Amino acid sequence: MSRPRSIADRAGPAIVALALASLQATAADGGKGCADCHPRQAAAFERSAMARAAVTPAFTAERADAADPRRCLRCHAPGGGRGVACGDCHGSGPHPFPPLEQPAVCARCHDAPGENTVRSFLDSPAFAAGLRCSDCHAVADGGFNHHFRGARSGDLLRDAATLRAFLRSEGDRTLATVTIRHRAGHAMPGGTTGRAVWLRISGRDEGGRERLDRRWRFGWNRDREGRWHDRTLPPGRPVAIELPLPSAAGIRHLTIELTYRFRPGPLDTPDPDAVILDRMEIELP
Amino acid sequence: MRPLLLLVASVLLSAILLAEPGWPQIAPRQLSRLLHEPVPPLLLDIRGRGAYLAGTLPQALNAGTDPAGFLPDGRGGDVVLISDDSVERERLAAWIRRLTNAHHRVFILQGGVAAWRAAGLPLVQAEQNYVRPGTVPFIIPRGLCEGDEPAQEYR
Repeated sequence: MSRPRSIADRAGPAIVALALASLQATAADGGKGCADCHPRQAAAFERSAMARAAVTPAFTAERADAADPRRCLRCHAPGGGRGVACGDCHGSGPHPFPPLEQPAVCARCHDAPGENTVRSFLDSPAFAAGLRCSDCHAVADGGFNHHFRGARSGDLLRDAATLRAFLRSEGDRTLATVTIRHRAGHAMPGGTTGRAVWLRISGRDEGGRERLDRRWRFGWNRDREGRWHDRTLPPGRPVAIELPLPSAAGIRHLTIELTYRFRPGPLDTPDPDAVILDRMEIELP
Repeated sequence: MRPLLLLVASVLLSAILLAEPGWPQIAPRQLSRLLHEPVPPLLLDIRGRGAYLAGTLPQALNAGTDPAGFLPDGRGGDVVLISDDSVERERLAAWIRRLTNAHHRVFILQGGVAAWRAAGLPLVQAEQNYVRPGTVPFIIPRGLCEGDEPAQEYR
């Protein structure tokens, strides 16, 4: 004998369907519905740079100059809100969403033209060691955290790159060799084309007068024909520069400085968020 | 057969010449593993420009041949000297003194470059260890979304 179905029994599937529809809609709608059941994750993500990727002053300024501003939003706010939303990564299929495949889910934006963060990660010691993007960028309090950390989070850039240098004689010349090694699991800088790491070598004579000022930019460069060139610092191996010091300049003091910049433009352009990654002083005999 | 014998003889000769009691040495395989560490040792090739350009270890830097003209950055750390039987024992000792005085922990590549090669490990062309950014005029991009608008030009 079958039990008579209650109103709740009869309404159950409809309620579930309604809830699923609601989740699907809200996941693609800035994550507001997601927060009802995932408040901790939503609150953490709200603090991330990705959540406000389309409203930062740097982005809005760049976008105002863009030839095709709509292209920017494909990554900065696919759903049209303040930034990336839950559904942009987790998908808009039926809830529960399948686990995300790393790094493929990140590559959609972090391998956009002018960025090789994920591609360089695939060729890194970090990838060979089995690390995933989230192992560095989505951890806090000992576990996975939706407060994605990036270069702007501050602590990721602490001790992120190291300079080594030596001088040597070759005939009547003195050559400075400088190496840069970083510990990011991908090319440095990651992120898009405006970011750069600058190496500056400056030299002063005995009287403190500047006699040398050389600068190198590591990032994405464009040539005059408009082609992009990847000049980022690769992961897992150092890069070295050899610089002959001008013999007549009487250089007695060298300053070597490595700076991470978020703003495009030359090294002298103000960038309030710039971070000095490493700096060393060498006294010449 | 003859090239193989020459290689074996070269490795043995290098091992004998570079094996000074009290000089810490590092085997090629061990060094190869260390190069993948987050903070690998600094590799200084002291064989001279010609030998260095002909082929050296990955990440090795040309330190020249004159230890008296070598000025380290003062930060110490581990250094491995890349040598071979062309480097006299006295010069090698001078290198070790120079670097030890600058607070480096110094190792010699056991058997030199010949042993590295004999272990089946790769040599690289020296220019692969250097970058030359900025040698071509380039434009500093304003960002990915700049489209085709010119940004600032930098030389």
